[in-house]
Amino acid sequence: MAKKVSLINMKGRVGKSTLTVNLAWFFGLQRSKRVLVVDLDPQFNASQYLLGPTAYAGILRENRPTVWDIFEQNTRTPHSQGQGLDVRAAVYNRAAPPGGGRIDLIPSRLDLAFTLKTPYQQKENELCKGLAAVEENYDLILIDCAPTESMLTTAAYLSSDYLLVPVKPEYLSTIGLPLLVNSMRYFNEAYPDRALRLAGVVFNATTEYAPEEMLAKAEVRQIAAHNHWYVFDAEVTSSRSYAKGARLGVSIFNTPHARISQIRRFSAFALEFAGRIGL
Amino acid sequence: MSTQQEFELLVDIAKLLKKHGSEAFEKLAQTLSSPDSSQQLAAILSATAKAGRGIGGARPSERAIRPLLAGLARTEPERSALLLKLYDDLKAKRVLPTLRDCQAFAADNGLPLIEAATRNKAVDSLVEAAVSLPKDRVEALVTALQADTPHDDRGLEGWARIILNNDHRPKKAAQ
Repeated sequence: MAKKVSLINMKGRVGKSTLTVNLAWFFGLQRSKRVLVVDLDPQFNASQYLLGPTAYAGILRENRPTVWDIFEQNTRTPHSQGQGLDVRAAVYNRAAPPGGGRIDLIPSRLDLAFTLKTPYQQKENELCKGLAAVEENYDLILIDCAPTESMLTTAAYLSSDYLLVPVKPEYLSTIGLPLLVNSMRYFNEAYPDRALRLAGVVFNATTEYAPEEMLAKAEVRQIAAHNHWYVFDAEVTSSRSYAKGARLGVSIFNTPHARISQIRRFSAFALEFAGRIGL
Repeated sequence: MSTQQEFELLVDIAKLLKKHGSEAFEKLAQTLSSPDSSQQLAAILSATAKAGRGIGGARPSERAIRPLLAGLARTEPERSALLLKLYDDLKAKRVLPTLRDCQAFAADNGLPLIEAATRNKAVDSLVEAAVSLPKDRVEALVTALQADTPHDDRGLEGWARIILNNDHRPKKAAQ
């Protein structure tokens, strides 16, 4: 049974997609785990990172299914009867190294934003049902969420065993945390039988810049303690290699000239994360 | 001097005489004047080639590895083709363009750790490790290498074309 983890924060630019993809690379290639990445953000950054424009354009050109189709599979329009979808058709392999590991992706597309305009018909249940059909094929499913409260957030909560919350230790980024507290509270009220579990809060893109960063970390730890949230000991330090890796379509481990110290810090976080979710 | 060409040869010989010394020169002249001089000369050229000097300018490893991979074709044509593709792609830097890439790829794919100091030596180590693998493992390596290496231009222009192109918008979304 796969461990399903949503990477979420109600603030953008905290590194959700970068962490998602690098965790996928780490477990898929270095730990021989079968990993599925679900891109649940209409900005489709994880899809951009993993696929690149040629493969992604091919999916659109050939009208192959994406995560959008999972949500819209039962929608009837003058052009479509809504005939259901075999979710496996929306899964694209990115890497299958020897040893049994693999990295697959359910990509997103901009049109997912239109789904948010018509959030009826219990669409939020579709992702959970879709993943149930494929989860036996994976050890880990990582869901890269959009940074705004919406039906997609509910869909991610319903589909997840755990939440992982990346936080960039700076003033505006930390304000995403109380928003997330609210979001989780609303969900728990609406779905009292579905307890959300938090794998933890991880400080991402840290620079050790004092005093602002130290202050932000202290505030985050305070909120975390108040909500009984775990804060990871390992931090993911800021590195230009993450941006470079995204441009090249490779992980921090394969980015040319990435510093060993940065790679080790990311590995330490990934291993602590694996321990938290029992992977 | 009968010709300009002979004069130039004499100048070259004089330069070589100055470089190697008269004693080595006279010894070589005696060797070459013997009846079996042609075999001696062939042996000298062969020894020079083994030392990696001249004779096409190829590195010793290139002369050793590629023929070995090509030679496998007699008994295992598919494995040979895969190994040659792996080797040629690596040598041409079409994949794994840096030493770090080679080291990371080896580590990611269960090959022995590469401790080479240059990319060329890392490539040799990588291919030598691949030679000992069965065909399906080599095939998996080649596949992983292609997946690991971006082939397309991931610049902003490529993405802008996709994002600004409304032709691909699904009809349901366009309602």
